Parts: sequence; structure tokens; C-alpha cells
Amino acid sequence: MLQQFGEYVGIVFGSFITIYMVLVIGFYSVILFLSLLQLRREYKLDKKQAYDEYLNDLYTKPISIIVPAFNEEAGLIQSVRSLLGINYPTYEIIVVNDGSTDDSLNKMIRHYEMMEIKKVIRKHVETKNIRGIYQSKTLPNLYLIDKENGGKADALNVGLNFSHYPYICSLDGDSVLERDAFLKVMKPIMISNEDVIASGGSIRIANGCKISNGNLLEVGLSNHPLVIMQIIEYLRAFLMGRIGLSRHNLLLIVSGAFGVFSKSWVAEAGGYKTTTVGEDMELVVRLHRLIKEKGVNKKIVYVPDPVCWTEVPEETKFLRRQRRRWHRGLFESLWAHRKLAFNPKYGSIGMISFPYFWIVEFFGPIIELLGYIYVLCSLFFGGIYLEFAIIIFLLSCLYGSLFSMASVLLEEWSLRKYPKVSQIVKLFLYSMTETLWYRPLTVFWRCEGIWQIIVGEKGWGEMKRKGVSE
Amino acid sequence: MGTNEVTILAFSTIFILILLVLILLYLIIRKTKENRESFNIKARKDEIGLALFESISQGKVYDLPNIDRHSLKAIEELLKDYSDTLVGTAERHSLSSIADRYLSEGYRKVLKGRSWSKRINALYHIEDFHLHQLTGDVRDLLQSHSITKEEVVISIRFLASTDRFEEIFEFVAKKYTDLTDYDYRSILFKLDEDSFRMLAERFSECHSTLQWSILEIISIRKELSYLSFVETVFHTYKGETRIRALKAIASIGFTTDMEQFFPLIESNEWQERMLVAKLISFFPSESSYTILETLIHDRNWWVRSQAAQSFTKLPKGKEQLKQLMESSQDPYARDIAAEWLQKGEI
Repeated sequence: MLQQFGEYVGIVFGSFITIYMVLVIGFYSVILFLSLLQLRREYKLDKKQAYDEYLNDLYTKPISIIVPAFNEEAGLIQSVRSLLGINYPTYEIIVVNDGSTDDSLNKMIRHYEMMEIKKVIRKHVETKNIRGIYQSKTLPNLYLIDKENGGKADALNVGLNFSHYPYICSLDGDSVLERDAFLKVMKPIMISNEDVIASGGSIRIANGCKISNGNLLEVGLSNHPLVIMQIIEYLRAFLMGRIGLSRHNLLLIVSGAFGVFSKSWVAEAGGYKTTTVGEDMELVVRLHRLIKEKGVNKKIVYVPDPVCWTEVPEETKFLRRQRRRWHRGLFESLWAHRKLAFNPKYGSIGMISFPYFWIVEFFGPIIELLGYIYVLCSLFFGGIYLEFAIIIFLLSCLYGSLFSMASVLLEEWSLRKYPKVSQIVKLFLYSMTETLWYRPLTVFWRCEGIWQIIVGEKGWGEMKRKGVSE
Repeated sequence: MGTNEVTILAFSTIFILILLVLILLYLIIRKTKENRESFNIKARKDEIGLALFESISQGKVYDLPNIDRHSLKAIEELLKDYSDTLVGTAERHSLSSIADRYLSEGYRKVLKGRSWSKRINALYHIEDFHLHQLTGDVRDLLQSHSITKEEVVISIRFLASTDRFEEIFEFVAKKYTDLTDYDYRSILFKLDEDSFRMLAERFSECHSTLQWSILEIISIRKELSYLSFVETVFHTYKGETRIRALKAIASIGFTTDMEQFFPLIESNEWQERMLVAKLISFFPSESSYTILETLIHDRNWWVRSQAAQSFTKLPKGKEQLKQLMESSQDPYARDIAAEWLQKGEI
């Protein structure tokens, strides 16, 4: 009797996981299909031509680039130099020193000959106190604001208050932009008659690339397995996920590392939220909410072409921290705006995006973890469980490898950043192994993130950077 | 587990594997081909580059040694590079004729073809190389039902550079009324002086987006000859059009009668107050200082900031601003005055 009951539970549980996976795979297949259609249409389009036109126009909108910096002395000077070389008609760079305890501030002042200035700041958003404002004597479009420590979101808010231009871009201290990145990321905003209020570009992984003085010299592929897996992950997330979601204005994430926002909208939404570790996603959700509540037809989009190269963790320890933090950030955004979920008033954001992020992105790891446990147990019990186990395993391989390869395909149709055949083969071989080690690891870390939510852990955790530039 | 199920599982595994291998093969073949292709094109470019440049700069006839796919691609890329840098009319003309000789036929076919991205590429090249011989084909494309907005904009822009005012007017004012400000501006920029003047004369027949674009272009070009036109628009129209006309006047930086704008100091629209503050900086007189003093105390930040900036442009402005900074009761006005006084130092 008991054995029968056990068997019954096993079958029900096995079927549940199987159905869940089929649904998820179904959802991703639809998104993949949309992305394939989109990129295939633009296949062989001469992008350079299409963007050149915008550079010559007198009407490119000026941007304020905000670089929050907390103890980034290793890469800050280089990042700023990379920004000074971008190809864009009018912009200003605002470095916000968030009470660094290292030598960031003095290094900036010395290197760029900055002098203290008097300046009126419009307070769109409340922030921590500002200690001083500096402007470079040689490069008048470079500003430095020294403020009390208040976290990344607070630093971004200071930059928002200070900025002179109608569009703001948040940028991580240690990332390298391609020269035309701003032109490309601004294009949807410029041509849409301001119907697009935020636009985000692609994030690619700088580890393994040759970068000198803040300029990307050669794209390379790291030899580190963890990094290669993250490359595949990023390709999948950006090219497959975001193109599909962006097309239907379902995008909930504009990466904090590189995104442009309309200042007036961000100010109206109340700026960046300082109490979450996922301030980038939270802001986008709030903007969507504002759009719906005002009943206007505005969009938030993703454009694949502009690329920002950023450093990712190479050690398990730091990757684990990052993933736990991301998962907490995801939860905080979803929870803070929980009333949007399944709320028809918020249209497709409420009915598609939110349920997707709750079910697939947030609860997914728990179900996947149970799946792994199930597969392991079935090896001992055999029989009917084993059948389910094999199906689950196959499905997850399908998920892992097929979608990964499809993303490499999308990459080849669109950006083509990896020039060598060997690099493609390498990506392929690694993507075959994802289900066996990388996926379980990230699933486990995300579950740890959920555990941290339950026990109420806060904070970012230290993140070590060695600097991408030589 | 039954044999049946094992077979199904085995088959699906094999199926997935085959699919993966096929994708991989496709990617490898594609990449190899592409790399070889770009290598070949580059080699051709090196071969023909110098001779091509010479014939363009000296207006000589150019003969391509052998006409194959790579050479054509190479010549297209080279011509594109030159077209970005060339300034002389004679050179442009000879570039056009070379492009016409080798590339027109290909573009003609592509424009009739099904690939959207190829059509767009061809349109850009037709525009860059001024291939007026293809005007008819571009016009045919505009008639097609499945044309996308991107194609419409580039096509009209190309036609705009070919002196057919009536046709362009029909397109921008009647047929395609849903383009953005940006698109209209990019088209209007291509019109020659006479065509643009004719368009301005028919201002009242245009829809508002087009009207705004006309005013924006006058703003950008700061053309004094359009002053009375924009002043008339300012007095006859309302709302956004009126503000844009005022903006054009402020950009031109001149008016026959400054006093006509004085009442705007009390306008409910902050944009109007700001633009008056801007315009007044071109007219140094006693009343200018008084008006700016009022505006620097405005409740709107932009107006205050513009008023302070305008002060700095007037002959005695800086001293006045310094006085204001010391004597004004309004902390906002004092701050903005201090900021603009310091601006000149960096």
C-alpha cells in the first residue's frame, strides 16, 4: 500500500517536472522563433550605413553618461578614457565617486586636472549629501561628483540630478564601450519621435579580449570554462531572450551595465530605488508601470548592435555571489510590484512578462533543483522513475544545447563578433556540457539566493575586479 | 521500460544530436566561406584601390580588370569610402558615373528582389553615389504595396535630391503623413534652396509634423531670409507650431521688432519665456537688462538658466549678474548667477 502510494507520488512528481519543462521549452521556442525571424530579416544589412546617417545629423540628442564608482581605482581612469573616445556628437561624462575609501577621487582629480566648481543642482530625487563637484580643465564635458557613500542607486540618482542633458546612461565603472555604441543605442529613441523612453544594448564578456587604454583591440575567447559558459549564457539571454521580448514591449530588464533612459521619465518615476540590489530591473518595471498608469504608448527596447564589453567573474566564489545577488534582486523587483502579476490592467506586462519572470525565472531554479534530485534518486530506484528521469534529462539537454547553439547561430546572423572557426567549435563543444555541470551549479546558487531571501540577507557582497584594460 | 519507449528515446536523442551537428556544420561552413570572401574582397580592394582613386580624382574613365562578384563588392566598398570624404563636384560626378557603370544593374535587380536588407543596402548606396539613373526604379519601389517605412524614407530622401519638388511635396505632405519629425527633417535637408522655399510657401497646406520640421530646419540653418516668414507663422499659429517658430527666431538671433515679444515674458508657457530670454541676448538695451532680471527670478529652472546665460552675452551683463548674485533675495537666482559667472573660467 505504502509502496503503491510512493510510486504514485513519484509518477505525479515526475509528470509535473516534465510538463513544466515542456512548457518552458515551448515558451523559449516561441521567443527563439521571433528572434530568428527578426535577425534573419536584417541578415546582411549593412549596419554601418544605417548608423552613419545618424552621426551626421545635427539632431542627435545629447546624453549624460553617469559612471558610479565605488573603489574602482583599478579601472576608472581607463573607463573614462574609453568614454572620452566615443563617437557621439554631444555628451557629458559624470563620474560619481560614491564615498570610495581608495584613491579613486584623487586619481581622477590629478589625472584629468579637475577643479572644484560651483554648480546648481536640480533636485529631481533625494540623495545623500554631495561633498564637492569638479570639472576637468582640459575636458570641459567631464565632471566628477564626490558624495557620501549611499550605494550604486544613490550614486546614479546624484548623476541624474546633476545631468544637463535629456537622456542619461548608466554605465558600470569597469566596462568598455565600442566607439559607436551610443549612436546605435540612441537610434530607436531618435527615430521613434520619443516614443521609446529607454533603450538597452548588448553586454558581452571582456575576459579573454585584448583591450588597451579602454579600447577593444581584438575579440577573443577566454580559456576559462566558467567564462565560456557565461558567454553562451549571455548570448542566449540577449540575442534570444531580449530580441523576442523587446519586439512586443515585454522587456523587464535593461541591463544596468549599459542602458539609456529618458531623464524626464526616470525623474518622474522617482529615480533609482536605493533599497534593492536589482535597481536596474526595478527601474524598468517602474517605468512600465508608469507607462500603463498614464495610459500612454511608450516603449522600452533592446537593440543588439551596440555592445558594451564587461568583465565577469572567473572564480566560482564571485560568480556564486553574483548569481545569489541577481536572484535576490529579481525577487525584490517582482515582490515590490507584485500587484502587476496577472493584472489585466497592465496589459502584456502583467499577463505575460510578470508571470514569466515569476514562474520561469524565479521559481524555475527550485523546480530544476527538484528535477536534479529526482534524476539522482531514480538511479537508485529504477523502474518507472528512470523513464521520467531520462525524459527530464533529455529535455534539459535539449534546452541547454539546442538553445545555446541557436544563440550562436543568432550571433552569426547579426553581430559576428567571433571571427574564427575554432571559436565557434569551442562554443559548441562547451554548450554540449552545460547540462552536466554549469546549469546545476547556477541552479543551486539561485536556490541559495532564495534561501537568503527567506533568512533576510541583504547587501551586495564583495566583487573583485582585476580590470579589463591592459 | 518497454522496447518501444527505449526506441523513441533513442530516436529523439539521435534527432537532437543530428540537429545540433547540422547547425554546427552550417556555422562552420558559413564562417569559413565568409572569412574567405572578406579576404578576397580585401585583396581586390588593394589591387584596384589606387587606380580607382586616380581615375576619380582626375576624371578619367576607369576599367575594372575583371568583373566578378568580389571585384564588384570591392569597388562598391571603395566608392563608399571615397563618397564619405569627397567634396569636389567633378569628383563626385566621376564617382557617380563609375558606380553607374558597374553597380547600377545590380541595384536595379536587388530593388525588385525579395530581400529586405539587400534592398535597404542598395537604397543607401544609390543615395550615396547619387545614381540618378535609377530614379525610375526607386519610384517603382515606392509604388509597391509591401514597402516598409525604412525604404520609404530613404527612397523619398533620394528623390528629394533630384529636383522634383511637386512629387516630393505630394509624398511628404499628402501620401506619407505618418513619418516622424526625424524622417521629415532628413528628407527636407536634401531639398535644394528653391525647393525648400517653395515648400515654405505652401506651409499652410502641410500637416503639423511637417510644419515643425520646416521650422526646425530654418532654426538649424539660421537663415535670415526666412525671418519674416517665421514671424508670420509665430503670429498666425498657436501651440507647438508657435513655440517652434519662436525657437527659429531665437536661433536666427534677429528680429525687426523686439518689442513685439515683450508680452511673452508673462506667458504661461515656460518655453516661450525661455526663448524670449534667449532672443533678448542679441539686443543690448536698457530694457533687456530689466527683462532678464525679471526672468532670472522665474519659477522655471530652464528660464532662469537661459536668463543667466543671456546676461553673460550682453556687454554689461557680467557686472549686472555679479550684482544680482550679491543682492538678490532669491537663492535660486543667486545660484544660477554664480554658476554662469564661473562658466567662462573653465
